Amino acid sequence: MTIIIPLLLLLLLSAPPLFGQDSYAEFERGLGLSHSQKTQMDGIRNRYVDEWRTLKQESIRKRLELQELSKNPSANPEKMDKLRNEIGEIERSRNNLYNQYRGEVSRTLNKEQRERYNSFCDTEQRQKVRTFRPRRYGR
Amino acid sequence: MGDKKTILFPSLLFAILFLLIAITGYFQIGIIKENIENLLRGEGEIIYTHIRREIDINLEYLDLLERSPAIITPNFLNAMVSDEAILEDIYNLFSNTETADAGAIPLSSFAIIDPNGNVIFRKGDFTIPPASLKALLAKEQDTVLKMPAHKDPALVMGMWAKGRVVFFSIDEKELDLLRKKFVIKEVLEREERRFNVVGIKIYDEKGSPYLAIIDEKGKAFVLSKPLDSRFLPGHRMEVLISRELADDTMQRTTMSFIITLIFLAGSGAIGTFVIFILERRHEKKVGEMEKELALRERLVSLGRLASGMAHEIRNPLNAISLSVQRLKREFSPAEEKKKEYDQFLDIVRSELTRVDRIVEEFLLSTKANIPFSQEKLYTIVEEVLMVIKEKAASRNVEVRNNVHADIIIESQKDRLKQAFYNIVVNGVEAIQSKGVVELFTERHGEAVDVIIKDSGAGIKEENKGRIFEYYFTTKDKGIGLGLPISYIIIKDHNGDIKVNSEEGAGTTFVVTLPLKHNAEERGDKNG
Repeated sequence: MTIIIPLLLLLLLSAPPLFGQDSYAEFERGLGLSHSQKTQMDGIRNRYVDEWRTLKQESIRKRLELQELSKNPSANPEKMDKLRNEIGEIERSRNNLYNQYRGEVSRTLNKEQRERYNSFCDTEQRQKVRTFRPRRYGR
Repeated sequence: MGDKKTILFPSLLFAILFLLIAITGYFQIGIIKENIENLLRGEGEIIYTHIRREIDINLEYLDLLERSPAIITPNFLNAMVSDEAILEDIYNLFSNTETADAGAIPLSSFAIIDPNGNVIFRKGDFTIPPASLKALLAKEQDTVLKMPAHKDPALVMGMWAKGRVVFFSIDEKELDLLRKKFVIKEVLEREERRFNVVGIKIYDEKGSPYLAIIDEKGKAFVLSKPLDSRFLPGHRMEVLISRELADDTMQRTTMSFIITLIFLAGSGAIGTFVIFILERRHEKKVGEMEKELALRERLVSLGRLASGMAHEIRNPLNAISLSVQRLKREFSPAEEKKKEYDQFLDIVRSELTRVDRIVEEFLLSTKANIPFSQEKLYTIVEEVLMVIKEKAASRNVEVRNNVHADIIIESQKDRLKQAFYNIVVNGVEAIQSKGVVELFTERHGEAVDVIIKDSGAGIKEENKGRIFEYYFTTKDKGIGLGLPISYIIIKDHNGDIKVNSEEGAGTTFVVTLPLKHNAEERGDKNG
């Protein structure tokens, strides 16, 4: 009895809070990345972030252009369709880029870390906590 | 007074019941209302907790994104594209705002330039990149954009909007606020759709509206609580839940209660009225029965008295009669007085006969112990009419026997004949000159109505209630015994006698008689 109560208290304190289990901070802490892994991750991230930023810039430009065209009744529909396709292409590029990024990250992780990473990403996608849901521009 | 009492008690009882139900219903409605409010509050609490958690999770991603997370997860990727939506919103804002109203645009630094390159509106202090402006004015490009970088963290953008060139600059702090607001707005829009609430409002630390998503106008239950988020300190959130269902439930409950009360009031009023009517009928019936009983008791006691007296009178009457016969036969006076003497004796004999008839009728009326026998009603009536016909003919009155020939009745024949005799004679005598007395029958199951209808003068209204009383008569030579005796005889047969009469239109006696008597009744009558 004298052992069980402190053990339970220890378990209670060490267990992550219920909401914290969903948080990124808990996930990152739980991964237990080594210093070298963190350095590798930073390198990968910075590389991809620059590419994502370029894509974002391009996407914004095209979307605003599409918006401007959609307000003009005499706008060329073919041009609008072309813009829509280009925006869709940027979306796909962004997703492909993310899959590449995910692959690279996975390779730097060990099996346990990889499983945890994949599980966390799957949970995020499943929960569809998509605060920034993509819009259907110009329609 | 009796009427008031009759209606007062059930009315009072009903009023108390109605009041009790009304009070209970009122409290029940109150409880239902309170429960509904609690349900709405509970629902609001759930939604509030969920939204607060969603805001915290999503703002945490935004916060971490600023601090370069080690690993980019799908949610970070989504957060990154928020700038696209923010800029699109700003574009729409400029596209939909006239230059004169541009001061209301919630950006700290922007400028509106006409197609000739003249600045027509400016807010805040920032430098318009000349090369970008030139490219836009020359329409070499539709938009120019410089995303935040480490060296220059401001976002600068130029574009054509509503035939004007717009340039704006958003510094790091402002962009952070815009991203945060955008994230919260997206959360609120999504949760508002998910929970189907009327609206969600967030107020800043000063109590000014920060963000509001209102789906529809109308009555709503408002749950207002501090947001209690580490990313939005001092903010307050209001969750507006539709009261439509709650109000509908309350309305239906109240309506059904009111209908119940109306129904109760209606049925109570009808019930009280019915009780009142029944009570009055009962009282009337009891009154009639009491009256009848009193009459019967009076008739019976008088009958017994008269019967005793009759026995006592008959003996001296016999003696007188014999003496008168002897006087006439043996003590005849001289010739000159003989005629007058005989006349006096005849008067004496006639009056003796009359007294004897009265005595006879009395005795017959009181002979209730005579045995019952099965008799043909037609024959009984026919025998009565045989006696009366001569008298009727002398008065120019026709007497008709239309009684059904096949009706067999269990009766004390002689007494019943006496009863009919008295009624028919009464009818004959009521006819002044020419007229008809008709007897006919109507069968009702185990009883028969013998209807004796005359075309006489009818009974006066004030006399109707007295015709069965002893010694009540309206005739000059009447003795007032006939109808009371008939009444007693009919009652001894477990029958009833009713009179319908209208002055100048004749009188109808309805004698109701049972066709059969049970052993007990026969025993009573047979002693």
